[in-house]
Amino acid sequence: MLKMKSIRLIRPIALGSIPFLIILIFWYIFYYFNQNVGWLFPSPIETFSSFLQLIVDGTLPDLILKSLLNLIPPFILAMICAVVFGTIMGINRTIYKIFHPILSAIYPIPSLAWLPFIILFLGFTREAIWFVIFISSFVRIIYNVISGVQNINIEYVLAAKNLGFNKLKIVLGVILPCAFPQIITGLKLGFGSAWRSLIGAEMLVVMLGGLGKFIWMSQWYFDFDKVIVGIIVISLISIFIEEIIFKRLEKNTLVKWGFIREEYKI
Amino acid sequence: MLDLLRVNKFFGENDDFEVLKDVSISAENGEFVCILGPSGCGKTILLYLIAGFLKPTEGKILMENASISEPNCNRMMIFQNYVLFPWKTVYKNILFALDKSTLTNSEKDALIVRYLDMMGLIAFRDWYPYKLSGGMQQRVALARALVANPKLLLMDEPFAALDLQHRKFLRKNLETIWQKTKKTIIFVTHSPNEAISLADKIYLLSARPAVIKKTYQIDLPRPRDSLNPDFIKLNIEIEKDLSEEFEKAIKNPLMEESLLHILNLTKKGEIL
Repeated sequence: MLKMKSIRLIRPIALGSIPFLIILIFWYIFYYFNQNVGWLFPSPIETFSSFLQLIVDGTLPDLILKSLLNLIPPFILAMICAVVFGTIMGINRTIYKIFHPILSAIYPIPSLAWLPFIILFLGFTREAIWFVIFISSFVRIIYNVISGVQNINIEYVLAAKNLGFNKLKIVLGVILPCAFPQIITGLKLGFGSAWRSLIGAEMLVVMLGGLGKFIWMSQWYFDFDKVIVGIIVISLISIFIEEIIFKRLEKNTLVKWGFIREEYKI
Repeated sequence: MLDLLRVNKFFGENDDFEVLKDVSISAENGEFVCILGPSGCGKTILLYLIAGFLKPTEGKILMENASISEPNCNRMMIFQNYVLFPWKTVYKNILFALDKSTLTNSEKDALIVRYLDMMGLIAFRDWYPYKLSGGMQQRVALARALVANPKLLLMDEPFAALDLQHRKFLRKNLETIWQKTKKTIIFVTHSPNEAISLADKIYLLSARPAVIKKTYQIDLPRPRDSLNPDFIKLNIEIEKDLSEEFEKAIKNPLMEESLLHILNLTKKGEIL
């Protein structure tokens, strides 16, 4: 029994690591045939030792902390604004008609395109970075909140009205939980988008930067091992947050309520 | 206790989509009334009007001689697909119905446990709805409606999505509850057999725009036996009337428009 269980746990990890192994092999082959050209392409082993060293000397933790400080406050603000405003837009047709066109106009603009403009007002400050992160996560979250609210089964609202709930209680107690699956999707997309814009913004507003600045500056010093370390860390943190925060949130809500199944079995 | 006086319900910008026309229905206190009609004829809309979710275009709906203006727990709706709140356990779903009640917590608890017991759901009190079968979910919905102590139960094809065994069981269950609690019930169905098994009075609606085509008073003794010759005779008669309307409905594609589509035609702010 125990053996079966451990196999079931290990199997997806083993399957999922196949592409990584292939990349590693190609990386090594590429390195092997280019090592005498005098070019500074790092081997996987060099990169890994550089990774360890950067952790030990405190550089990486410090960079991660700086990046998170740039990322988390505007993301949380965007989350609150988008849920509140998106719910209102989802419910009220007039407000929807007023604000939907401007949202559609903002949506396709790459969030980094705001930066030159915003630096004009705010200078090379943390607020400038925050603005970019806010915009980039806000539009993605609000789109999903709106469609989540608009697509709920009207019968839930009727049942709640029948039980005598007032409007506020219907919104908070019925409409929001009903729209929750799409709200979580919005949060995930918004977070991904915020994270991508963050690295870009940090490359431009260099003095306040964390990982973005690190990747950018390492390139100037031809420290390509560090560039790769930076890229890997970005991806590791995203995976960590996805697994720790969003997966847990889904497990305690959507899975528990039967909106989605835990594993995708056919 | 309930009177619909020449109720019209039209949808669309210019009220050009006629759903109910000149419908007059009445239910005495404690009466079991069935509304029978072909699919898509506006039966659900009729219940929505009585529940107060929608307003009639013309005509009056009176309950105990007072006009109905908005939803109220006096009139509880039972939906075809149960509409339990998925994020609440069975117990908390029922507790939701006591939100406005002035009872103390222990009184609420006793009341809920009583209804859970009546429905045979005690063992499932902490389950989330998605884990329950359709029949069990409908029992939870029934308990939730009854706990609010309504005078009128509005049931929209409540057993239509269930298997035959469950349907029979719940019909019987409902009949017992009805006899015990003396509630007035308006029960929508498309099955003549179901209507004859349960009703004191049956209104047959025509294809859309729905008018009352016929009224049947059912005086067969209870519990009713579907093999009783009178039952069978009545069944054949009603079946024939219903088929005629069904033929009309199916020939006209406009009549097959779904409830969702019709609700999309509601005017701004009518539902939320």
